[in-house]
Amino acid sequence: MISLFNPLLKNDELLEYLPQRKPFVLVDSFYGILDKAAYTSFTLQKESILSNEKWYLEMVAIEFLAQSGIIMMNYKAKQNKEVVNINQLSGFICKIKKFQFSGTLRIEDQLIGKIISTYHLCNMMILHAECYVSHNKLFEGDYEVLSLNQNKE
Amino acid sequence: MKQPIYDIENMEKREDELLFSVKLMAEHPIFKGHFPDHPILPGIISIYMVKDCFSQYHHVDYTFFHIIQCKFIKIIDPTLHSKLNISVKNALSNDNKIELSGKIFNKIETFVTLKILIV
Repeated sequence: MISLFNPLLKNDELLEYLPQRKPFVLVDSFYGILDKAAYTSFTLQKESILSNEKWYLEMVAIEFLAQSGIIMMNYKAKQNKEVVNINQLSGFICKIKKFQFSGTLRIEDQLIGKIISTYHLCNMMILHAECYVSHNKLFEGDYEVLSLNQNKE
Repeated sequence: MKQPIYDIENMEKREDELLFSVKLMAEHPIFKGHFPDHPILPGIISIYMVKDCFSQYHHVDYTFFHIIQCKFIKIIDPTLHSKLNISVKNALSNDNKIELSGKIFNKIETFVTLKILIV
């Protein structure tokens, strides 16, 4: 059972798993992994640089889910005692596909992310990501991620 | 404070495609976080630029419906690749959405290719 009231990691604790830095950190909380799915959340505050223009709102969900996937990958790697290098070269998203937009976001909406690893071979991983707002699934899609963290301690 | 992260410097129509020249603003605060000391254009902004160029050409505020596929082939460093070209071809999909095929490139290489549906 995952509780969305008790994050495993939140705010600056996430920076150990994520190379992005303010003002471009789009995950507030990581709740853990259950049945191969990781859960995260993010609330876009009106003072955020990303709230300045309407166009950012269209793109926030895509980036929130991408950053959630990176946190999940690095969290799992650390659990497996792998050496995790948190920098911009530790991995990247090489493809996004089948990303469906079923709604729009508003400032101060709380986004809930659900990330499932659907394929993993060597350093290539395919993640299926879903984004919910008020229990409604507004966005979902697949990310192909190349991780460069491979060394075991 | 609104500060654009890119600027469309030129747009033209060539046969079945639209061609745009854009300039990235490397001093934009987003690059402080993506990533410190190693600025990289976020993938979401690449996707947005293709749709925005098409929207601006037609003076219509389109919104995303579906990203069919987007391939990030090479990293865009705004300090090295401040001048970019964007090509956009459009067609009408079966369900009356607008299907855009886009590419971000410069004289040397292609950085991003994508296919999206907008409404």
